[in-house]
Amino acid sequence: MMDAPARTAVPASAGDADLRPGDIEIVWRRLISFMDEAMTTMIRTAYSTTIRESRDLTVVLFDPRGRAIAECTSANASFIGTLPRSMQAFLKAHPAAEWRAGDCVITNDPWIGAGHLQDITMASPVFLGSDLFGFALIAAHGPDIGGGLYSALSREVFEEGLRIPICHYARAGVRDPLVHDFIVSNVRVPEKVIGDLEGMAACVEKAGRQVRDLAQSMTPARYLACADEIVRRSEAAMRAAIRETPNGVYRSELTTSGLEEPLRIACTVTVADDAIGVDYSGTTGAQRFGINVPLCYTYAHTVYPLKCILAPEIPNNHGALTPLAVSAPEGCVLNPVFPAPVSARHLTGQFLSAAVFLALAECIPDRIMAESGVTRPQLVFSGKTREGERFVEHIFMVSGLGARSVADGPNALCFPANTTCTPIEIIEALTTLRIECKELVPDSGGTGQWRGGCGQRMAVRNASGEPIQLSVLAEMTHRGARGLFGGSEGRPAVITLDGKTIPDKALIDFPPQSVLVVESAGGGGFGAAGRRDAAAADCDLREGYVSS
Amino acid sequence: MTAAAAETPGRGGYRLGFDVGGTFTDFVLLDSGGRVKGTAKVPTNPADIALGAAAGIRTLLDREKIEPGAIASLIHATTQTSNTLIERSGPCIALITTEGFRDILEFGREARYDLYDLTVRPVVSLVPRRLRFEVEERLNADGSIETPLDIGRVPKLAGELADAGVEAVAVCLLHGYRNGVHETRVREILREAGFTGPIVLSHETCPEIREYERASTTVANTYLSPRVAGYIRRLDGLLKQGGIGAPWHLISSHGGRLRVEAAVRRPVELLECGAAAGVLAAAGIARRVGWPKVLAFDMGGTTAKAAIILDGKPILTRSYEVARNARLKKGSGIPIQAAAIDLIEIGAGGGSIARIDRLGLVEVGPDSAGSDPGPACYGRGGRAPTVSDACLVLGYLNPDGLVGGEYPLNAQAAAEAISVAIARPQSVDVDTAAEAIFRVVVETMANAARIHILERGLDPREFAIVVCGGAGPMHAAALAGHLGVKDVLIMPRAGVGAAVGLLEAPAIARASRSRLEALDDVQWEEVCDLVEDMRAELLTDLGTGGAHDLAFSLSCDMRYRGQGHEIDVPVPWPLPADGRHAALNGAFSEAYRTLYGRTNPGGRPEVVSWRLEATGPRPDPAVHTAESSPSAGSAGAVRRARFAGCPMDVPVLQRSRLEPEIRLEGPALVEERETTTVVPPGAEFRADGIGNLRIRIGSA
Repeated sequence: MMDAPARTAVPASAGDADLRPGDIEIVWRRLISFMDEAMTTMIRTAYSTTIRESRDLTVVLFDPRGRAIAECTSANASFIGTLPRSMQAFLKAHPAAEWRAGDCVITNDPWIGAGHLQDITMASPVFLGSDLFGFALIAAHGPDIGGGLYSALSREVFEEGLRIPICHYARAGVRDPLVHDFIVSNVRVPEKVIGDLEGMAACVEKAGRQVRDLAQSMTPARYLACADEIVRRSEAAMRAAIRETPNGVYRSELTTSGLEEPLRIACTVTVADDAIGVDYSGTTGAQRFGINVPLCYTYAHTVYPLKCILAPEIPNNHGALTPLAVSAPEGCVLNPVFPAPVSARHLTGQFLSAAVFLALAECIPDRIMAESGVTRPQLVFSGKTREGERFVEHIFMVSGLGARSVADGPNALCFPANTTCTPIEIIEALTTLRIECKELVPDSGGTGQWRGGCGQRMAVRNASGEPIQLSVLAEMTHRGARGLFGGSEGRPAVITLDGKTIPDKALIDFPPQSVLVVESAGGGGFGAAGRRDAAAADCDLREGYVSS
Repeated sequence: MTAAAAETPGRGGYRLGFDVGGTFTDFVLLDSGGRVKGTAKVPTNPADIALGAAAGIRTLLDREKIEPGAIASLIHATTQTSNTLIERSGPCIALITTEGFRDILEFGREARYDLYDLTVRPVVSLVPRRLRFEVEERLNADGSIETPLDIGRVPKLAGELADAGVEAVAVCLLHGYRNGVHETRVREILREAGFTGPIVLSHETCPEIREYERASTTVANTYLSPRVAGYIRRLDGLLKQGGIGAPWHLISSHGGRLRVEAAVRRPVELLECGAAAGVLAAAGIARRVGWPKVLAFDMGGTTAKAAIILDGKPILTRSYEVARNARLKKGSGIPIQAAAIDLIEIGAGGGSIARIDRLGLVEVGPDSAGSDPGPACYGRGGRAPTVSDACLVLGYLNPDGLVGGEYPLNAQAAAEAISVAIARPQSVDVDTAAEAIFRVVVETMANAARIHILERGLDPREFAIVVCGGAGPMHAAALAGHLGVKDVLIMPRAGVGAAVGLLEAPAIARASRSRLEALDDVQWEEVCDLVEDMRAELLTDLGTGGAHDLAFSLSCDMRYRGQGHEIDVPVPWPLPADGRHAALNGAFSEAYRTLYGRTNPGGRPEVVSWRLEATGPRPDPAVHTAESSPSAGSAGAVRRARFAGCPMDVPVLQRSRLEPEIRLEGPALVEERETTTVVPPGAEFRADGIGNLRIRIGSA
């Protein structure tokens, strides 16, 4: 193709573009809605339950330089941090001048994408004529990526499935048949996988068209000036928020149950005027199994809690994250080197919120929360339906959340991920599983002036006559979620098969009529129990959140 | 156009509609020719809505010298049902679930409705945990019985319910939507054991998959049951006492007439009816004017509402949320699976407060100064600048105040509030700051409306805006500008105009049958049986003897095999004998393409459920006559107002004095008793002869 090379539109400064009061507000709001609409479309047209029921996806808009401008409202804590890094990698592989309208670039490389192969990232450029106005990106958890069943027990990334390098899913609007065939040939449920990839491509293309129309209607110069202002103001607001946090070096240390051994996560948060650096020196080295966390995911789950405590109301974008730096020594479990196994990276990575909160507990006790019962247990089942079709189904459970300085921790809620559960009636309609119960676990929240949230118990029976392949991905079975300022710790997670305890990371045959029972961990309490309000204590007892 | 009907005696008698809002109740009375005979607006009596309504009716009838017996029909809408949920002011109710699942109601969908806010609080369940009881039973996903109901346990429950003071019971068992046998049995046993309150079953209320949403809907229905039944009994008694023996109806959330018996059984269908009146009125106008695509727009003190009207009918949703938390966030309310006008509610009203956020940007709403203290310009101690304050500073609002000068406004206080909170921090003048507030609030509404339209695969620029009341007429032209809309219409007599909408609503009933199968496997004989079955149900629901005056429309929910969300596909019925599969496939592809801009060529379409809707004859439309006294036109009044940064002297006209069909050019401020319509420069406007004010944007 001999198209003229793409030109990157150059942002005018706010002054040059003659912005009127209200312009930035208007553009910002619109861009967020475009991302929201793209996300809704993806959910409605999706095949995999991880997307259509659990909403494990995020859509983000970038400017021509690859800076995040706007993200969908109901985003995922991982993807908001990984997508900006994916964008930079895309631009490195394909500089701005190489992109054409209708291109769609894809990857699931764990170090470039979202930390494991299951998450697919796609990008589509936004063009107005031959001017490049930015990129729309989506990341979503696909239904299957081949390899061994999704578990923590892989020893190299190669076992974990098909690794798609940065390549063109489509060029100038034309799908690449070879890429398509490579994917179809390597997954268990190709119809669903391709259905979702098509949905993702359509989603970013549509978001791009809407952004293009907006840029056109308000003049490209003003659009770009607004995008610039969005980034500039977000950064300024984040820096102002950091300045309100006392300078200092704050440390925390916690353990995860790990696989062969408990892992130590050492976290050092340095608040220096208007910037924060987080470093994980002292953290356990990379593991032989798939619980290592590529740095992109470490970054995501470190900036996420900081964003929550510092500036929850600022719509997230490049500017809001610029003052935050994250580092981890190469070769540690939070920065493993290819081809380390990383499939279940969230089992380690989702502890980082708590590590950050704990480090800052003395510094800003009113802003943080006690440790939550992370990570939410995840169960993956692979079997055949009564009609003989293959199913791969994920059950995401949730845990009790940590209490705060002014409120109990919510019972059974998703954190730091933010996925929704798949309804039991849907699970049972799609599989041969029978859910025997799904209920709160009384007494599982840590006590305190403010109580930690209760965890959740789920019992699942294999109602078929054949074994079902089962992968358990869970954590916090070795200790409870830590309380703060005198609050007690929550109850640890417990996983049993037919009454016998099994490891929290397991890949097993789930025998016919066997029953798997999983209790997620409760959240930690906040403040001394003696200071608990009498009415709140009575209510806990009356409603059965505590038994005595 | 209704001349024939008007001259048909016996059609007749008077029609009375009333719309109970949070603050005021609006009444409208039509004579047998559909002409507006009288109207009234009285303060709502929150302590006894029925009594207040009955008193209002008596006042209106006395004033118009009409015998109560001359009222032939009466129709009514109220915001009280949703208030019961928002305030959690309903009775003590219980939930009975399958053993092991009583916490489903509390779990919800388990996500946080705000990703970054660590203080999010989950929805407070309508049934506390101690009143959620379990029974041993289990159905399979296909509806077959795995474990029979433990009938020994249920009678004991009746005693526990009585001890706890439970007034009504919801029953929601797993897979109950596939087979209601256990739910029905639970009700029978509770009745035998002496429980007399309402018992609401999930398979009758919401026969749809997804246990949380079904339970939530069933529980909401239960929660509303005792109050709604009591209210209806009381109002019925008061009406009869007052000599009105005519049958009366309520408006349902989906904009159809609902028989009183049906409303008692399914009060959840009334949840959104408070907002229905204005939308129905806009739909009536859309039909009369002949606009195929209309955005109905209503802006009050706290929120704005918008709905899409296609070909004269409001489009519906089958799931929505009520009682969202203060910031109206998606996911923070109670999910309801029932048909309702697909309404968006935006935290933007005249009382919405403006501020500078941490980013140095102007933010408006969603919090509101309400009516007390109200906007700064009310002079009642409000210090925060609001949208109304901005409108006053911009010259859009008459400083002599609304409602004919009864409540003068304090321009000084408005300017001061804007100066302190917005202008000084931003280093701009007060006028510029006011304009920024105005633009931001308009965009907040435009943005929500745009997404609402885009999500249906439609183009906002092809719409016209029909405005009903409140602060809407002041913002509508600007809203049109933001959306690229050309035509704006301001209804006659705001609140009362909306009440007219009630009187134009036909009876509507809907039935559905879930039957999941691949399109290729659909047996048409079975479909015919299903359709007949639903038709019989609808006839019972509507209480009509025959189908001759009902219009039926069939649709089905379809998706590609493997997907989890269905789309609504209109089905031409009867389908052509040859190529029925192809016809349905074609209809599906077309609907899918409209929504999502593509189809999925390798996908296998499947049918999830069939739906039949019956619509009764539409009552004769109301006849609006221009209330103009076109004598003087403008009395030469002029007010300084600001558009796009330019202050200008703008003529102030009285709406009632506009001569019909005389085209005028903006800018102009058209005033009436309760509101001002702002016509920007470049727009053209006219009174249209049937009581509407029409604006054409950018046509001059």
